[in-house]
Amino acid sequence: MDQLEHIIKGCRDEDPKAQKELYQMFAGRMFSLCLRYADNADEAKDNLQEGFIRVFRKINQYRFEGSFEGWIRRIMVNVSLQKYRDRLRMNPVYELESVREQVPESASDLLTEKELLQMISELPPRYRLVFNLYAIEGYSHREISEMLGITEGTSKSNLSRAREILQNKLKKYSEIKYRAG
Amino acid sequence: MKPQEEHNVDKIFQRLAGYEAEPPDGVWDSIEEALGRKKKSRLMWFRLLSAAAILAFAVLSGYYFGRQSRPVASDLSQKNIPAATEAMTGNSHVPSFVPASDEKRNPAKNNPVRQRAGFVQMALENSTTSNEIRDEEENYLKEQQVSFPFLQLREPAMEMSTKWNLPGIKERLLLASLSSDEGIVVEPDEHTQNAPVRYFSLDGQAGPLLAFRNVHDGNREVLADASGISVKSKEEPLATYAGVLRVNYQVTKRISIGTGMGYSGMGLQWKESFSPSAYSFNGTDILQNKESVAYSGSSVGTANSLGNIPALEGLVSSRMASSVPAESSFSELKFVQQLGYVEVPVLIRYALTDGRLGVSLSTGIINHFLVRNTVFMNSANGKTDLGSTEGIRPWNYSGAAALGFDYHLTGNITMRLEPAFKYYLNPSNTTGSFSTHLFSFGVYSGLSYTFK
Repeated sequence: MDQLEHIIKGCRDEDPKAQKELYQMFAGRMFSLCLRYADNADEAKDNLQEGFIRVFRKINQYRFEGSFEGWIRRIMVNVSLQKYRDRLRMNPVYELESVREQVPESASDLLTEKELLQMISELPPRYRLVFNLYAIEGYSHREISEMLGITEGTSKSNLSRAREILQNKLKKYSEIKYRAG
Repeated sequence: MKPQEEHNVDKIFQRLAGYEAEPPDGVWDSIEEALGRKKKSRLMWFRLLSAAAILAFAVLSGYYFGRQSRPVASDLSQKNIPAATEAMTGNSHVPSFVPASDEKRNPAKNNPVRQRAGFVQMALENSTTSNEIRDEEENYLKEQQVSFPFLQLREPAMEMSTKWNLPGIKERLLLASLSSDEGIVVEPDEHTQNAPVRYFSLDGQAGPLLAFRNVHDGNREVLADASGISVKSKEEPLATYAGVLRVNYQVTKRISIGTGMGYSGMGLQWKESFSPSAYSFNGTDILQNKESVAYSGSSVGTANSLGNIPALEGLVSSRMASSVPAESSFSELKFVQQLGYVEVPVLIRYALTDGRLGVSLSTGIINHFLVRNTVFMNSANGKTDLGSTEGIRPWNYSGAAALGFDYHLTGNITMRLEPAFKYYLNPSNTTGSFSTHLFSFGVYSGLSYTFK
């Protein structure tokens, strides 16, 4: 029995030590995932918390078939999408909010993951979700359309627009870096 | 697997798939608390104090309302003084039922929406894997630190070889190669821990109940029987039963409100010792002992703390007509006054913990409608129906508090053990110069089914 399997079985027995080990093992990657989907760090923190609570409550459903991290990631994505749908329900124009263009003040460093996260977080909500789901999580447009309740065409269009915005941001970064450089 | 459209922008941002960000402080503590394990002593104290305050409020309210609605003495008090008692004892100033004067009273005492499941599940069975494998870029994880206001990132702690297996794309590819039932179970959507979680549940509970009564009076003689013995000292709690079917609506994760319908027995019992004799009740020999006996020195009053039992008057009168030879042994008669109420509770429940083993506190008001009123006597000759008690209030309400211990058997079914206390806020008697409040301790057990 490898370490992860041992920890998972401990979590099934609601062993606090095993739960904490599982959290420490995956919290960093899952928080990074949550940051990509959330509007801000507070929301990402909430999603991380809720996602892990859900993981611990449903860990009996994991049958040691397939990747455990994939299973956790799906739960985190689900939590993040649920937050998006909740917000959309309360504010129907949420997904149409304009792009928050923001050029970084300093481009003296190379493009980092932190900067990439920042760029993604500045996308309009639905563009952000579609881009994350397609480009990073690897879902198809058909799957995304089912997840978000949109058409495949809209998914493709949103992806295209997200790429366009991100490309412009990358270009601006490069220009600033070049000038600074 | 989807026919992945390669795009330079995608490849740049795919670096984020396996990236680790430093989780904010306090997340683990919050998770532990949500799992019902974190001991927050201050919060626990607050909850315990709240529970004590609610319980105290329920009891004091009952006392207050009881004093406010004390029934006035009626002519029943005079009817209830058995002439035979006076004749026997020669003590006409110690009636079995005497109205207390108002002056004797103490005036100071008057007074997670669960969303549809699987909304965001991958349609794994619809996926193909043949053409979706992308190149993994193992240099994703180079260390670069830039200070962004809301992010604190850390370098991946794991070895590259391990890391290679972890990014989302990789996992996605692995998952896509599985059938839908291979290891991945449909993940239902749930609301957040803090958001309202609205659903219904149905409780069925039943259990034994010990019924008591509390008599408010300023005169110990009020309930004295013919021999001067206070009825209060004779009356005993009655073991009975109760059950309820209740529908609850979960308002938030921890708070639910519920109502329904149930049945609860109440009442009391007492014993009288008599010499075996030709006691008869309405012409029937009760003890079937043909020997006449001497009067034992005790008698049965027709009234007690619940009300008047006219049938007892017949019992005493018949006995008085008998002759009185000596008799040494005594027989015991057991009298049972049973009341039955249909209950309509309105309760609010607060979950103190919400793990597999949950603890909850309930409080609220219960309406009681009298549907059963019987008196019977157990003797050597069996059970004798003595009719009913007069002067019982047909409607009453009580304050209730209960501590529930839940064990979640499945996602929808919960087993509950719930000690409960009820105190009737109205006097149960409508006649007499005192007021009697019923109360009970019960231990309910049953199942709860959650519709979600």
